[in-house]
This record gives sequence, structure tokens and C-alpha cells, in this order.
Amino acid sequence: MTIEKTIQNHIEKVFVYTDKFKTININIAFELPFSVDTTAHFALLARVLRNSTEKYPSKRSLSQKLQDLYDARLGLTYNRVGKASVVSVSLTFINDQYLQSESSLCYEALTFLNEVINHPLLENGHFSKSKLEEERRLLIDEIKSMYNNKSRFALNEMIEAMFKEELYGKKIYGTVSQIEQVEPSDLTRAYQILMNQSKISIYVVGDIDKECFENNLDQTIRLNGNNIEVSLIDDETKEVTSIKEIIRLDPVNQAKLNIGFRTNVLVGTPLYYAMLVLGSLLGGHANSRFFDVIREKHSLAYSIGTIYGLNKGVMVVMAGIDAGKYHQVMDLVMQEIHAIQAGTIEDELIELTKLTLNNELLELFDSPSGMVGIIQKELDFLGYFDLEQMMKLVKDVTKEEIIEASKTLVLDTVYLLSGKEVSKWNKSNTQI
Amino acid sequence: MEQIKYTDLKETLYHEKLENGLEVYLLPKHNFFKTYAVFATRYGSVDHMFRPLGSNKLISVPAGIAHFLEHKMFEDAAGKNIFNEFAKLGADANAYTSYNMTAYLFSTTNEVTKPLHLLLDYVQEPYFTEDNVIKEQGIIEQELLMYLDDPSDRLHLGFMKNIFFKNEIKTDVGGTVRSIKQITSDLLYTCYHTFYHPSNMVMFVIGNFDVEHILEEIKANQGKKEFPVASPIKRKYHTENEIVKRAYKEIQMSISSPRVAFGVKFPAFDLSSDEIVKKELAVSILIDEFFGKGSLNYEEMLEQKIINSSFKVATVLENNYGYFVAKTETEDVDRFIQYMKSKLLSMKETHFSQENFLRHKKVVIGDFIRRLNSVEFIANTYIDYYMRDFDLLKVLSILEHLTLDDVLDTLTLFKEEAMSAFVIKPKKKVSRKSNSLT
Repeated sequence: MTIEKTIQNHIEKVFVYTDKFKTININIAFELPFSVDTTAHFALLARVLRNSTEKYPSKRSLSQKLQDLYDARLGLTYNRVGKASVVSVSLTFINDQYLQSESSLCYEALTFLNEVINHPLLENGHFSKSKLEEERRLLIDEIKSMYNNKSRFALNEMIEAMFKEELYGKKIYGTVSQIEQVEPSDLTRAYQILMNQSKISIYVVGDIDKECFENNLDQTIRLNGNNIEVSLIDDETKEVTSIKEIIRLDPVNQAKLNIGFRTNVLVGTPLYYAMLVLGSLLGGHANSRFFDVIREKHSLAYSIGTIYGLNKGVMVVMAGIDAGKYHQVMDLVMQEIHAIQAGTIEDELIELTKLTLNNELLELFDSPSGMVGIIQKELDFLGYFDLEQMMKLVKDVTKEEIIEASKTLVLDTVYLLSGKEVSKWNKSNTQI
Repeated sequence: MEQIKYTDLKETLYHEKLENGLEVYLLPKHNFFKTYAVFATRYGSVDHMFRPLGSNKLISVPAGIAHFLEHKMFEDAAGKNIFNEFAKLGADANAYTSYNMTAYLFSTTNEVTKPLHLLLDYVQEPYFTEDNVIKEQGIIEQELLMYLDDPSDRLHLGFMKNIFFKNEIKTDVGGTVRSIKQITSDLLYTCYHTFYHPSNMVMFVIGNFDVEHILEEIKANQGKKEFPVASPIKRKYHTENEIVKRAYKEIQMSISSPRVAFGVKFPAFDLSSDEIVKKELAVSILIDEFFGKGSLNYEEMLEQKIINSSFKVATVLENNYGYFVAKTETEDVDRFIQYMKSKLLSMKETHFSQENFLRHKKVVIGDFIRRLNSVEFIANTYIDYYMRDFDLLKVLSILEHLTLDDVLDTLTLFKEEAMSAFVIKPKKKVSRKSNSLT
């Protein structure tokens, strides 16, 4: 694997040469500062761009074109990273080496990608009203459907409650009423901003055919790079004065518990790797403390784990539990965290966790998307990529650093989605 | 050691059958960090009725026992946590049970030999007691309850219960809260001794390792163990024709909008493994033509707001069971069912061009090659097809011989009496709540 990074006309181009995959993956990211007022515009724009183009004016013709490209996969996603809005356009297609075909799929794929980016379907200079309506309906349906995945739903509710007054608590796609108000002209404006004012990066992974890419990428896909500052870190925070505890009734068989902690440890800060180890040690693998104590020893949960939001400074403990065991689970979770804060951690578990984390890190390099994700993260936050160093930083984390990281955790919000009435866990409502 | 070269795919597979009957497949991928090993038995959730090793009597065991057994394999006599043992070696262990097999696996980016021995050893050393069976019943009950909250699982199971009378495929892999309570350690041992004989098992290792060395290690491990003489396992299944048990059923759940599964049951077949895989491909192409994202019907259903992006189709066709199913969220359940039914029944009157057929072939080729990026896909799917006596890496040669006529021949499978719908509607009280979800 060799990585080649160049910056031309403010566009960052990263080529990852590897012959382990049978595909070529291209990912073009457009980054802009996130705005609550226009986020719904970009969310819908990404969908409308995926819907049709000038040459392929319907979903059907666009799908058929992708099928003709040997089932090439086109992705147009919209997301928030830190304080940035990111629209990603990706295309995965089979490397020509594996096809008994005369023509070059690579060249066809690049031409197609340009069609998607630079030739959207317009009517009198604006995006089509009917395509907007179609995608609006589908997006709203998807948002409503999130309620059906109870774990996801409970997590979203917890995040929104915990960060109610902060950017992080705002809906990524905007509210349903914002989505309902988007007009074709809003999409046109958003498209102009995306094309002319965003920071652009291109990642290509695979056994890259130099001839196809070096000769064609720039000529085929026209892009205007910009030298703007986009913050991928969201360090907005606030003092926790009292613990929020929310119990919401919903007819679920298994209650969904989410516990949100704040921490000032973010990616790029000194304790970052210690926090990674801490999160994994508590709930990242089958030997983690929560899994061992709450699931195995006490049979109190079917699933339990932690998520660490590294560019926000938030750690969430998620568990699927029997609602009647709510207080017991809460007590055990807090007890485990207090124990680490007080310095009780087995050295063996620390070593095991580090081994697990580095194993997980290397495994990411066995998939094209995992590779792009991790290389992009390192280049964004560090400016360079060094796999050996990343693994060493994990190995070098000390017990003291883990204890220090654990002391930054402040309980903020507890959210329980429960099928039956239960009493509050935090009776005194004091800070912990 | 047999060497099988797939030149077009640039892959070489190594194969050997050991003296005790274990089939070993090794696929080196030197540029990967990971090695992924799967040790699997031809024993899944559909194996309810069989003749135990050393007995002449056919017995029937509780639903979910294969999955239960899989959970219990992770406990040993010394009380060690198996996951922990793998983790200490820098490997990540897991297991899964499907309809036709139980698979134990690990992946690692570290040294391979030790976790490989551990994998072979723990799966070949069962330890079941009444106490640990009772404890497990509690854990699996929680797992089953979790699935009960998942509308996708409920929809699928509901549809299966609609179309099958007795076929074992209609029961969830995990069984039911009631059936797992009937499991005892004696029953677990009976199943274990019958199905975990090496001659009923396969090992597939893929990734970054030396072929000769790994084969020697596996042989050495197996050579040290003794197994009784194997006899062919007698199993019995309830095969059925295409008539469905019921054409319609609905339930209520706490969901935002109604969901439907509408589909067609296929009769049991008695075909060779190549023929059945070919037939499955043919039906998939037929469905892609009429209901895929590039089809007129899909476009029309979206325009008429009958479906949304949750719409999905799936085709399963094996000798013992088979079905086609389309699932979606929809505000208009009846229109969706009527639409699907009329379009399925009129497929035979609609022209299917050679040009479209060639495009669908390209999709199968592209989809297959793309998936080969993943070592997990290769190992898991290779074993899945192995259980069906088919070589996964030969899929494209089957496709090469597939003609449009083969596809059109499968039209006769889509009969009205073979159709069924299962519907989940939102609970009244909850749908009010969900409207305020903005």
C-alpha cells in the first residue's frame, strides 16, 4: 500500500495504491460550515443529485446506467462532521483487470461521475419540482421510520436532550417542518454553494490504472477547489449543573438505556488515545468491564457497549435491558466508572484492550471504505498518515493516563425507553 | 493437497480432506492484514428431526437447539471465558447459526496458529451442565425478546409462518421462548455427538498465512484426537408444495407506518446443486427485471406513492424450500398488495428483451466480483454454498450458461395460490405519538 497526496488548485487528492481489492473506489467530499438554517437544503440536494441527471433524467435510467457499469455503486450522502456539513459522492466499480471487456469501465465510470456532479437535471435553470417532491417524501418517510429502530431512536433522543442548546443536538437533516419548506430555488442555491464554495478532497483506492486516472481525472471531472476553513471539531460544551433523567414510555419488550457523559478529551488532544482505550475497556469488546459485569456476571443486559464521539467529546453507554433492572444497571455502570477513577484497573485488561484496538485498526485496512475513513481522519486531524505510529500511540497509553481520562467523564443525561413505568434512578438529582 | 485455480478471479484455493473426514479449504490472501477462519458444521435450525449417532430411532428436538448449542460451546469445564482466551491471543472470536449450519470463527491480524488450535479445541470439547443450561435460557430469552421488538424480524417471521405449514424454515433460528425451555444438557449432547463429528464439518481459512504450515497445524491438531466411526446422518424435513398456509394475516406493533411482506412460495425441488443454483439465479434476474430499481414497476410504485425507499425484494430457492418476497413500508397496504399481485401474474405477458437480460447478467458479475473484496464474504458464503454442495467461485461459470429462456421458464412458479401477505400496522396510541416526531 502506498499513499500519494497532492494538492492542486486547492483540491486535495489522495491516491491509495493497493492490489488487494477488485474494485476502484472514488470518494469526493465537499465540506462547508454547518448551518442550522440550510442543512435541510443540503440533505435534499444530495438526494436529488442521486435521483437523476441531465442525461439520465429518471431514477430508472440512472439505475440502468449503473447496471450497465457492472453494478457500479453510487453513493451520495450528507452528514455533519464537527461543525461542518459534508456531502460525499462516491462510486465503486470493478477494476478493468477482472472484466473480459474491450472498453474501459474506468473511463466510463469517471465520465458518469462527472455527469452526476456537474450535470444535474434542471428545468429553466432550477432543480425539478417533482424530483424534489419525490425525494422530500422519501426523506421524511426515512426520518419517521427511525422510530422503528428502537436502539437508534433512543440514542437520537438522548443526544438531542443532552445537547439541546448546542449545535450537536440539532437534527442533521433539519426538522420535518424545515424539510417541508424547501423550494427548488433553495436547491439551486445550495448546489451553487457546494460547487463553488466548498473545500474539496478526492480519495481513490485500488489497483489504480495510472493511465485512466492521471490522464482523465482532472479533464473528466471538473471541480472548483476553495481554500476555506472548515472545523471538523465541535468543541462547544457547557457546565453540567444537574443530571437530566428522561424516562419515556413506549411499548417495547426490551428497554433501551442510554447514558451520556461529557469529556473534554477530543481527537488531537493529549489524552485522546487514553480515551480510546478507556471507551473500549469499558464497553468495546467481549471482555470489557460492562460486558463482563453487567451481561455475563449479573445477566442484566443482552447488549451493552460504549460509543465515543471523538470530535465532540461525548461518551455514550448503550444497553438493552429489562426495565425492572434499570436502577441496578445504572448503579453498576457508575460503580465501574468510579472504580477506574479510583485507580482500579487490571493490567491484563488494559493490554487486552490495546491488542483489540490495534487489531480493529488493522482490520479497517482490509476494506476500501475502512481505509478511506481512517486515512482521511488522520490527514484531516494530523496532516499526515503513519500507521505504525498510530499503533504505537495505542500501545504507549499508560494506566495513569486512562485514570486521568476517566476523571474527565461527567454524567450529563440518562435516557430510558421503557415498556413499563419505572421510578427515577437519581432521586437526589445531584451531580456525580 | 488439491489446488484449485480461478484464473479470472486471480484466486487459488487449496483443499484437503483429512483422515477423520474434516474438509479443509485454505485461501491465502497475502496482501491482507487479517486472517479469518471459520469452523462450521452442517447443522442448522432446520435440523429438528434426525437419527442420533448410534441409534436407529428418529427423534424430534426443540426448535432453536442448534443456536442454543452454539451459545453453550463458549463455556468450558475450567470455567474459562472463550472470548477472553481469543482476545489474549489478539484474535476476535464469534459464532453464528443459520438455517443450514453453525459456524465458529475468529479473525486476527496477529499470529494465526494459536487461535486456530483454540478454535478447533473449544468446538471439539463440549461442556454442558443443567446449571449452565438454565442460565443460558435467561440470556437467550432476552435475545428473543429483543427480536420481538424489531419490526423487520417480525415481518419476516410472520411471512414465513404464512407460507409454510410445517417446513422447519418457518421457525426463527433462535427458537421460541417456550421451545428453548425444553432444552436439557442431555439433548445438547445428543445433538452434539451427532452433528459435530469432523466428517460433518468444514474448515475455511482465508487471509495472510502460509498454506503448508497451516495445513500441517490443522492435521496435527486433528491427528491427536479420537472420534467414533462416522455413519451417514439421517435427517428428515417437512417439504411442501407451493400452496400457502394462509393468504393474509396482520398484527399490530409500535411502529410509525404500516409494513407489508408480500410474496410467493415455491414448491420443493429435487435438483442437482448446479441446477438449483442456476434456477435461483434465473429467478433473481426475473425479479430484477420486473421489480428492480431499473424497472418500470419500481418507478411506477414510487410515483404512485405505493412504496418508499424501504422497498426490498429477496429470492431464496433451495431444494427444501423457497420463496420470493417484497417488503416495504406503505401507507396503502391494499394497493401495494394488489399492485404486486397483478404485476407478478402478468409477467408472462410482458416482453423481456435480450438487451435487458444481458444488463442483468452484468449486474450479477459486478455484484459478485465486488463482494470478493471482503474475506468475510468469501469465507461465509463459500461455506454456505458448500453446505449446498456448490462451489461459490463457480457462480460466474453457471451464469455464463444461463439463457433468457432459462429465466422465462421460471415464470410458471408465480401462481396466485402460492401468494401471501403479512402486514404489521401501527398501534393506534403509538401512531399519534410518532406524528409528533419531528
